[in-house]
Amino acid sequence: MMSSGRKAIIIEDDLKQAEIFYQALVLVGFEAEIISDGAAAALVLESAAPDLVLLDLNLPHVKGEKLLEQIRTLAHLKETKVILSTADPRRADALRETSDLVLIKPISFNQLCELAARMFKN
Amino acid sequence: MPTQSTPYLVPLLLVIACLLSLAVYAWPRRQIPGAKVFLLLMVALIAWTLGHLFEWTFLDMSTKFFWVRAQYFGIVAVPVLWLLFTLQTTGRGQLITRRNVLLLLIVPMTTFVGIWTNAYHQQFWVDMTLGLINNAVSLRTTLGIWFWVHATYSYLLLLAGTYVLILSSRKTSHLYRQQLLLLLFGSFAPWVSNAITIFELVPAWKGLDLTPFGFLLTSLTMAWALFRYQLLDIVPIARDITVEKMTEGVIVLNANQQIVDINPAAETLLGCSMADAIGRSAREILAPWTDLVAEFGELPSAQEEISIGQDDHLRYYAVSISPIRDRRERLSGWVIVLRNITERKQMEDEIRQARDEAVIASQMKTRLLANISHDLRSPLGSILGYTEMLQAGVPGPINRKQFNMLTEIIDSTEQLLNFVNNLVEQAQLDSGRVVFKTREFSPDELLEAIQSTARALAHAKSLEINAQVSTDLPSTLSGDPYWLRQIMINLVSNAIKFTDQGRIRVDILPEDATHWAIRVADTGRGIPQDALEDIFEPFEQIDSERSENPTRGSGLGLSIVKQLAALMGGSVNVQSTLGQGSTFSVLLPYKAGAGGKE
Repeated sequence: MMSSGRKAIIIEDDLKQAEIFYQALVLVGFEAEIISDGAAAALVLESAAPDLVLLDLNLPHVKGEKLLEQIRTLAHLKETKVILSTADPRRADALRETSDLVLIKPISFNQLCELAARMFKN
Repeated sequence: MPTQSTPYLVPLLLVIACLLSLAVYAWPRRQIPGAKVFLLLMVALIAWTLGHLFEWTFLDMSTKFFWVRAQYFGIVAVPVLWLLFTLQTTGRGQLITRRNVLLLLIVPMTTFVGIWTNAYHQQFWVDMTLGLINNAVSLRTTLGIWFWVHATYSYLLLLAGTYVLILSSRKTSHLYRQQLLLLLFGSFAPWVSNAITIFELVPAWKGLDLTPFGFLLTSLTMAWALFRYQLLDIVPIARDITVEKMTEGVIVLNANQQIVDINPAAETLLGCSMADAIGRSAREILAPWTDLVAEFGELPSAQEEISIGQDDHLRYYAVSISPIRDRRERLSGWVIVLRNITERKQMEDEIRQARDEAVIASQMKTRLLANISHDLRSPLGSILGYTEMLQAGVPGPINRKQFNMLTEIIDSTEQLLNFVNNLVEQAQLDSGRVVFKTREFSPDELLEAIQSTARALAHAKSLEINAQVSTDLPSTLSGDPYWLRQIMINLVSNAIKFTDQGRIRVDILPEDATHWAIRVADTGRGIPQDALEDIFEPFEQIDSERSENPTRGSGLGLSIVKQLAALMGGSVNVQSTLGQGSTFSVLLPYKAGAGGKE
């Protein structure tokens, strides 16, 4: 599929999962990059302005919740959509209000494709 | 009939008076074991002494002879009664059977008959004459063979009774040994007095039968033992047979809290012998058991559990202290019974330990499941993801056959994932660790949250799926959206699994004044009527006998729905028509928290 010009940052320390997310987002037209460390992600987010962040809650060094808070407070990220990914549904439940979508691991490739596409349909 | 006065008159009268007094004293106490035999002995001795008195009183031969023979009513009875008394006193009463008594009476009865028929055989007295002894007319006899037979037999009975007393005095406790020794001392008096009489050892008393005097002394000691010490009240019978053999320790205290009796089991418990314990104060011997002493000191009766020793020597005992009261209800002592309950305590400890271990195991199981679920889900997620990528042609195009194969892999992996999810949920339900976090939520939120999952599943089977929230529902509901989502996901997955074509419809709507409902309807295969109850049981699936097209799954999904609904204070029901489809309804109260844990 041709790139739609939309950018996505995948913040996930499990490289296999990250690969799956990457392929799914690319398939639906995103330009995606993978960051596997929370601290590194925090730095990147200070300057980058992706359309979509796919954020794992269980990251090394900086927790996903903190990154989510950062995304929601930074002005240049206020249009950024956030999909949370976690294996702990209870944890996700608490963050439902501040994220656009919560996906419980393991996340299906097809499911992510469909959801990501639908999110940016218009 | 002519009579005479002799110096023996007064002493004999005194003996009779004493014996009579003893009999009068014994009569109201005849219920005391041994007292009846004692009474009979008094009667026999009185008969003997009275007969002897009249023998001396009357002058003519025939009257004298009559009274000589009349004495033998007592003479033949006394040795037998003496033996019976010693047997009864020393707890051998079971030997006093009708048969044994009759056997004992053979010689005495023969003697009694023999003396009254002596004229025909002269085996008892060969001849008899009148003579003078100490200026009194007395009857002089030449003794026949049967006299000696009877005398030997009587001595043997006396000896037997004495032996019984000696035996018992060695075995019994210190306190009672004194009483038995007293009886023993008393039992020698007749021997001595009879020997003096028969062998005329004291010239001054020649002709006078001193045996009644000897027996008077014996009777006094017997009365003392019976009525003063109440010898038979403290059950030597029971002690020998029961108490001695008991595995429980028995300690008897008198009113002064001195130990008066202990059994072998108590000797072992106290760590001292009976000889050392008897007579000592209870506090002295039981000092190491401070709790027992404290309890005992305050209450007339108590039940307590105590422990003695440490480590390998630790023993537990159930202690029972009961007062002993005499016939006038006065406190006369205590009985302490100690029962070894170490085994029971050990079992209780083991049970407690097993329970604690079970609790730990249960906790570990939950933790393990939590870990396993992550360790299982993660690789399964990878399998699913990469397989889907292959199928989507990410690394390159694939042919139809490859596509179908990948579909099989994806289906199986999703099944496995579903199974893991259900297992974890079931484990949470089993361990009672389902925690509801009740809050207000919008019904739309509930629907939205499951839409992505539901659509993906339905899309895979080319099924249509519609979801709707009734406008009649309040804008917010109360409950735990997480677990409500689980219910919906399970119902929807179930519906999709059993529907090959058509559509699935999900509705959230009011049911009645107090309940709202989640309803999932499908156009699937339907469920046979006889299986409608079974499908909610764990691991229960419609088998090939009841379904043309059995579908494999974990069999937990509907069971989890039912359990969750119940915990939320609600219920689940199903309506179904084979070949047309099924409608599952979960009814939940508007007021959340009923039946659920917070």
